[in-house]
Amino acid sequence: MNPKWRHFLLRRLTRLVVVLAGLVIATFALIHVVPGDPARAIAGAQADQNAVERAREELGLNDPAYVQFGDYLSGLVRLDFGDSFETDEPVTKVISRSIGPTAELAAFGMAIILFVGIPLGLLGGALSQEGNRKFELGFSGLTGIMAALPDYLTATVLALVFAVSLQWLPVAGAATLSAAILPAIAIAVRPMAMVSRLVRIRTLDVLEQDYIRSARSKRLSPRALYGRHVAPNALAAALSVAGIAFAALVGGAVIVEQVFARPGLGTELVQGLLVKNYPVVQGIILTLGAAIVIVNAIVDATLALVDPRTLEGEL
Amino acid sequence: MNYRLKVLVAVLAMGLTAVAVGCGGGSSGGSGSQGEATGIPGGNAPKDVTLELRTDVDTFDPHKSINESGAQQVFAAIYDTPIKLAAGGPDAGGVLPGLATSWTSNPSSATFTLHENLTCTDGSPLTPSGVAKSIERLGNPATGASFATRIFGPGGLKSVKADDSKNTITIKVNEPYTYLVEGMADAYIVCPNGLDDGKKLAQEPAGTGPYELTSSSRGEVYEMTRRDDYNALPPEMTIDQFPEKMAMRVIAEDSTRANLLETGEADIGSILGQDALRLRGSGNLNEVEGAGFGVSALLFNQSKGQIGTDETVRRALSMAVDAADYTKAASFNVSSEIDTVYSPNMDCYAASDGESTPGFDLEQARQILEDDGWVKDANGIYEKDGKALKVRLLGYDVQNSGPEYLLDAFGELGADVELNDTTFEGAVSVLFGTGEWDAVVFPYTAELYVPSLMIGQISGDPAASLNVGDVQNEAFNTLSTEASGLEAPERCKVWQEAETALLDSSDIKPVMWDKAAWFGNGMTFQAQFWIVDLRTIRVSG
Repeated sequence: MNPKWRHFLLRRLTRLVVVLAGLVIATFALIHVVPGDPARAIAGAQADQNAVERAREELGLNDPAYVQFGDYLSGLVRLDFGDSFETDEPVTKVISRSIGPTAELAAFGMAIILFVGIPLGLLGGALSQEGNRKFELGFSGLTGIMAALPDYLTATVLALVFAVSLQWLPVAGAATLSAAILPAIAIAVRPMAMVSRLVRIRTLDVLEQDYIRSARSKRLSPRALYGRHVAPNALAAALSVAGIAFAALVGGAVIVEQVFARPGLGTELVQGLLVKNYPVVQGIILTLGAAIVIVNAIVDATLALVDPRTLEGEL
Repeated sequence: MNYRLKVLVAVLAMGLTAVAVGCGGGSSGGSGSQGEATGIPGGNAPKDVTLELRTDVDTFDPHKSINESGAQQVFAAIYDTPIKLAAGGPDAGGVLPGLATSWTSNPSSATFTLHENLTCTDGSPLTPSGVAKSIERLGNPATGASFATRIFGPGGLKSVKADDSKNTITIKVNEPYTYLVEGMADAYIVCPNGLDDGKKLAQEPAGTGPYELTSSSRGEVYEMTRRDDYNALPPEMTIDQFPEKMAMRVIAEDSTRANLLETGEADIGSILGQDALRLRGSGNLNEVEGAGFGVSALLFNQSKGQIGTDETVRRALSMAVDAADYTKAASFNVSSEIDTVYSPNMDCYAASDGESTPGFDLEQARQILEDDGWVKDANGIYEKDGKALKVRLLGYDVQNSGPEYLLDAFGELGADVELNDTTFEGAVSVLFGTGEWDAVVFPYTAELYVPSLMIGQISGDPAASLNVGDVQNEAFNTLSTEASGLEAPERCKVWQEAETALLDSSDIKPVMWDKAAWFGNGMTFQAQFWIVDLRTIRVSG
């Protein structure tokens, strides 16, 4: 293997381990300092004291924090995330049944970002380049608004219009692929707008380059010009923020899954936080953290394939 | 929640499947039996029903569940209980047959005669010994059932004995508890085959009810099929009057439930907020009122050193609140205003007890403060002995704009109000944990229509109860303990005196009778605040 690639992979692997270790410590510490008694939350507000004490004992909450942390770490080494306080299910089972709806949402969302955001940005750059000031203002304004829309608001409006009024798509659930369309649009709108703005600026920049003027002087068709010269450079710019966009998608999924009643990781995470279901919260945050780091590594690798110059700094 | 009287934990009323209007059963402290009409409507059941759950099922072990509404609804389908309660309360049927066809009782024990030839979902026989084993597990402190005192009273279960030859079970409790029979409406009977492996029971039900769970996707949907061999039916009902298939979908958001009802993707669901207004008169939707047992009441923190220890302050703050305005803000008038601690559908309700509740009178409220030495400062805030009238108001999501109304109302009075508007779970953390609150509207609702459930909630030893307000009303404590051992009709007289004792000292001010707006797509049914009576679902029109 090329030494630069070897070094690249080693660095990304190290980064993954460091991030996960940080997440393990941070989530354990944070969830334990947040006020509230998980035993009371799990036993129920109307439970008598006997039931609460029993819950506390069964959940190991009477043990000192360092003992609880030690137990948790030793479980992690065996890939055992513990059992849900609420349902007694292994956390790995909770994650495996919830990850599908979230992954589906993230995949659709990324597809929208890449296959709508990038062409939109390219088009925006091409039309702006011809000195169309009104278009430029309109594009910036519209994408600016889209980038500022809260996910919850977008989700609610999409549901009311396309699911309730027009009845084109399901209101809620994850039973069919079509049920992922509206929530995917809801979480993708903001990052898609940001990517298209970035691509437009990069496109304008590329169009100013000498080699583009040379290409034009050779009377290359617009398709060849944009396809062979402009798009790959703009793509690199889009890929550079794809990792951040993915993280934004994951954050949006947590909220949007509530609106569309999707039984994904976001729904489980919110419920886990509300009742202080430590094992579930820790397990899901680790999973999402690992996913973000891995996706960023894939993005970096793709960038390196598209533009090998990015590997220059690896040795 | 959680939005949406959301993810409301088990403090709220999770009514049981019930039958409204009937005179089939008797009440406890005596005897009762089936044989007369139990209010089961005639007509045809729909073949398939999709019903919305507000919360997910935490565990399929009903003895360990915290009994949120979602779990209650699923348990009502897959498990059975010795008796059931009428949704309309004691005056609308009271105690109705379930697995038992008749019963006798006194405050220390109850004997139930069961249907013949009962079976579990797996086809195995459900004998009185099997029923007794389930009740024994429920009442065993080692099981840790969070609601055991609601069933067996403060003293807990003493013994359960079965006589298979006579088809009876006899339950004895350690301390007299006049509502022992009513408590059995919460005693889900688990098939004996499932009792020995608690871990497995948590994931797979060992059912005894009219439905078998055929598929389960946690957080999403529970599908079940009617058991045609189920025979614990009221006399005027046939098994085909249960829908053949049920799908119970978990939909936590109020607005999403409303959307599903509007598009026809769900058949039955309840709405607690303003989304109920857009569904009214919509298409094929029939509205059904689901009233809770109990009320939401303004409660004050009477822990040492807190402003709530001052009776004058409690009374003044109570008088600054208009129950009608609060109800409108908190429920968009889906619920009703109220001035009694017991709701009209509860045992021992007396409208006249509301006369002890301080009404809305802002001028009078200011007057009693000033008569007690409170003086307004330059900012219009009352102060006394150098201390301002500062109120830390606690609210939570499912109360909609109710907390904002109280913020304004107390501010109008002349208090310096700080609002902490959080989730219900967050409020529980404050109430049971940090204690950093002075006033909250607390849901004194229960899944049974008996006032005794409030013993642990309103006054007494905070460590041994749910007395988050640290209310120490000795008169109430004495009277409620006395009432717990009395039979009808004497018990109601004492319960009413206990209610008056609370209201006279402004320990609480009842403001709202919690109700849910249920909707059915081309269907009618009977419902309580949290759940639908599955025996009453019928095609409408």
